[in-house]
This record gives sequence, C-alpha cells and structure tokens, in this order.
Amino acid sequence: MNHKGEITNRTLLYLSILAIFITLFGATVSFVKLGKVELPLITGLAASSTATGTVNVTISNTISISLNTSFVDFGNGSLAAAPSYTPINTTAGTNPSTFNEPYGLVIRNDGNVDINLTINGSTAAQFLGGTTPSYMWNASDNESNSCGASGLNYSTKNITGNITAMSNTHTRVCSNLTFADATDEIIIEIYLNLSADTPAGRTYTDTAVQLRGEHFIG
Amino acid sequence: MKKGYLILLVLAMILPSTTAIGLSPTSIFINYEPGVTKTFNFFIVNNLGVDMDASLYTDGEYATFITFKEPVVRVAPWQNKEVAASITFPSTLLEPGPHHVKIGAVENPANRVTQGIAPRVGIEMKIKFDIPYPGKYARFQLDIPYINTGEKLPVTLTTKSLGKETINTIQGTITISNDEKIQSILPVTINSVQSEEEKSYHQVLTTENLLPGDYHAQASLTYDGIYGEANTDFRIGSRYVNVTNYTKTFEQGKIGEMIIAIAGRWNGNIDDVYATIDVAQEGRGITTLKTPSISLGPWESSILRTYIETATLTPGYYDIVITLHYLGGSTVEKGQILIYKKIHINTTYILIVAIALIVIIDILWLLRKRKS
Repeated sequence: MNHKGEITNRTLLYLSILAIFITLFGATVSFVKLGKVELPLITGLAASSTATGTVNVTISNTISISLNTSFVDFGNGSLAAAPSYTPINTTAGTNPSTFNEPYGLVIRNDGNVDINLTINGSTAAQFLGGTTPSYMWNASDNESNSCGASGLNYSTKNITGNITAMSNTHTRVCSNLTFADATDEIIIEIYLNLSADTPAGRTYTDTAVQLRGEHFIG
Repeated sequence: MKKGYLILLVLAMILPSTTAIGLSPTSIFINYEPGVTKTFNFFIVNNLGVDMDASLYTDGEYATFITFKEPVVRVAPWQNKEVAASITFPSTLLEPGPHHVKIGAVENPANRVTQGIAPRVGIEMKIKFDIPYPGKYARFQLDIPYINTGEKLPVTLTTKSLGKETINTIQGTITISNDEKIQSILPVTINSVQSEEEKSYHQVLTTENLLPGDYHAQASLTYDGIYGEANTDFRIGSRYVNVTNYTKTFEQGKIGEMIIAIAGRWNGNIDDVYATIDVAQEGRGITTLKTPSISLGPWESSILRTYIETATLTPGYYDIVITLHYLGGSTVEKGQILIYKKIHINTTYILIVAIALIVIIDILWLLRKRKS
C-alpha cells in the first residue's frame, strides 16, 4: 500500500543509483586532479611523431695534486760527537736524541688523468750547515700500484725508489701516478745526515721544495 | 698567558695542514696565425677549505708569447677560478712543426707556517700550436680500440694538413695483421685537405674471422705523391685468464707462500677470479689449496696468493694442477713444485773439526821435527 508523502522503493532505487554515480564521478575528478588517472582513458601509440633529446656532457681533463702536510718538522735535538753524523728521517725508525718523528710527504693525485711527478729543492749544502751534510729522499707507493703495475722492481718501475740527493733541478719521483681512488697515493721519505759541526742555535728551513705534477701525453 | 696559548691553538686549527692545487684542462690547442693575438681561458682548482693564492708562470722556448691578465690568482675555498690569458704569435718566421709553451701554477706559501721542510705543490699544462711547413705536409694518426671477440671493430684514420698548400688527394691502405699474417686490407681515399684542416676516415669492421689476440695495423698512404704512414696495435679479447708464473720451490718445515701470476685477456672487468691447487705425488692426492678471490680490470695482470704447509711433506718433486675459476669458466695449468730441505751448518762442529785439524798438523810437525 502506497501512502501519500512516502517515498516509493523505486524512487529510493533511483536515488541510490544517482548517489553511486555522483560518488564515482567525484572520485574520478579527484584522481584526475591528483594525477593518478589520465584522461582520455583510451590511449594509443603515436604513429609518426617521435620526439628525441640528446644530452651531451664533456668532462675536461683536470690535473690536481695534494700533500698531507705543509711542512716536515724534525724539531730539535743534540748531535752525535765528531766524526759521527746524526741521521734523522721520516721513516718508522726512531730518530735519536729529542728530534721529532715527522711523517713523510704523502702526495695524492686528485685529478682525472695520470701524472708525471717531479721534485726539486735546496741542496744539502744550501739547506744545512756543517761539514758535508746530506739531504735525501726516496719514494714508494702509499697505496699499492699507485705508480705503475705490480710485480716490477724499482729498476723497471716508474718510481724513484732508491735514496736520492735533493737537487735544484726537477728530478723524477713517479712518471705515472694514477688517479683511481684506491691507487693514487705515493709517499716521499726524507733523510737528513747532520754533521757534528752543524751550527747550533738556529732553525734550518727549506722553502724551496716543490712537487710538480704534469700530464704531457702528446 | 692562557689567552696567548688559546690564540695559538685556534691559529693551529685554522692554518691548513695540507696543500693542494689543480689546473684544467691539461692542454689547449691554438690555431697559429702570424702576427695575431688570441685569447684563451683555463681554470685553477682549489681543493682545500681555505683561500689559495696561485702564482702563474710560463716555460719553454716561446714562453714570452703568453701573457696573463693576473700573474697571481686568488681562489676561494673549494672553487675553480677562470683565468684569462693570451698568446701573441710574432709576424716573423718560426720553425715549422708542432710547438708548445708550458703554463704552470704554484701554490703561494704566503700566510703559511714554514719550519723544517716546507714543500709547495705546482702543476703544469701545455699550450700547443702548429707552425705550417712549406709546401704539402700531412700528419696521420690511426686509432683502433681494444675490443672483445664478436664485437664490431671501429677503425679511424685522422689526417691533419700541416703544410701551407692544400693536399688534393690522399690514397692508400690500412693493413691489419696478426702474427705477421695479413687479416684484412682497407682501401683509403680522402680528398681535398686544406692547410691546418683535419679530416678523418672511418670504417667499422666485423670481427667474425678475427681470432682473439694481439694485432697490428699499418696505414700506408701517399698524398699528392708524398709517402706517409701511421701504425697502431690493438687487441681482441676473449674470456680467458692465463697463468703466467707461479712459485715452484718451498722449504720443508715451513708455511710457504705460493704466488700465482695471472693475466686477463678480456676487454672488461672479470670479478671473482680465484684458483684451486691440487698437490699430488705419484698419483696420490696430498692436499688442495684455494686462494681468495680477486677482480681483474681489462687486460690486467695480477697475483693470487695462498699458503702451503710443508712440515708433513717429504723433500722431493710434487705434481700440481692449478685451476683458475672465472666467469663460469676455468683455465687448467699443470706443473711441478719442489720441496727442499735446507742444510743447517752447525758452526760448533766446524770449529771442533778445524781445531782437531790444527792439533793433528801440530803433532805431525812435532814428529817430523824430532825425526830431523
């Protein structure tokens, strides 16, 4: 029985369908705004229009070197009596008297090319006083294979491993210091032989030491 | 007094404990024009967290050609500073051929603690230019990269005309050989190369008929009747790692280190390379050793290490089989090792024998003296 003013079942059905439609429409609009659904929903492969892009990046060769320290300071100490000499160095061995135990010069190739590394500085006579002092250095890998391939001895390797007197002219340290992170460090140890008659009461400084890197292929 | 120490401490923390300098690029080519000034730029690189002053200089026969806008350049921390420079070519004649001037930058030691040995770091780059030869002159360069078997082989011949006159035609061949056997011949023709102009010939070859190995390529060319050539070597790689050497003698009673030298023949990285070593005597298995894994770069040689306990092994020769494992494959190398016993000389026994000999000689001498 249908009473006046009451909503019929059919009307309720229509209202329900309308509510569902409005809900679906609202949800679709929301998703499109959020970018979750793209319209038109039917898509296809473009037959002829193709857009392409090219990205070019050129990396320049950069030569860059760094040192672990800006000075090697042996501090102060007493000298052995004549005719002996007092040897001090940057290697692991203990220096005599109260001399410091400075670390050697670690050179790292920070660039993106292999480099040829040379060193020059004052001579022993220019740097130190006394009778025939010596001022020498040698180089070795601080990270294995940094200066050439493994398995080679110093006579065939690209590194100056024998102890060499410091000279005013640039001398080869390593002719092929590589740049890969794990193999880009070498160490230069410094050796001084101080004469017993080295004048006391003054500080000896060599500011002429220069480590020079160059990449001269071709 | 305490305040003074504090200032010193702060200064020690601020002052740089390292020195560094960089330069980019490593070389610049400038086209030569007599009587003309040309400008160029390069960068000084500061890889430190403090300001850096770099002093610039030039070196070489033609160093005076170069002028810097600023001879000393200040570079901010972690920054690159662009430097403007110019090169002035004189109107007078220069010696024909390739030339260069070195440009250097040295870190300036101002405001730095200097005591003991205070090194500075410097770097150098090249400014290159070519002076044309009279008449016709061509420079050739042949470039062929290392590849792997089955890959395409790009062959590039580049020529640059360094003479004052135009080259009309370059003709010739590129011959590719392996073990002195000719594998391929490519005809080459390049037309009209102006003075200072660079032109390239490019060809891509298939390598189905080329075996892995070392190759030589030679370009033999004539340009307007003048002969020229260029050579290069290249390799075709295979998935192969070779045993080139290994430790062959060990002292008995010790833990001996066995080193195996290996060489990769692949134009790419080979990860997880290791060896197993089977040791046997007269067909009887004694022990099996294994090395840790390593990675090999393209065409890289390296070594594998393991250790052999020789305390229980009798002196003599042992058969070994070294098996290299890599990329799902293996290489087998057979050989022998020698376990030897070191002879220890007891100096006490030598001294006893020496003294006994002296006593015997003395007795014999005394007996002889008595008889006489």
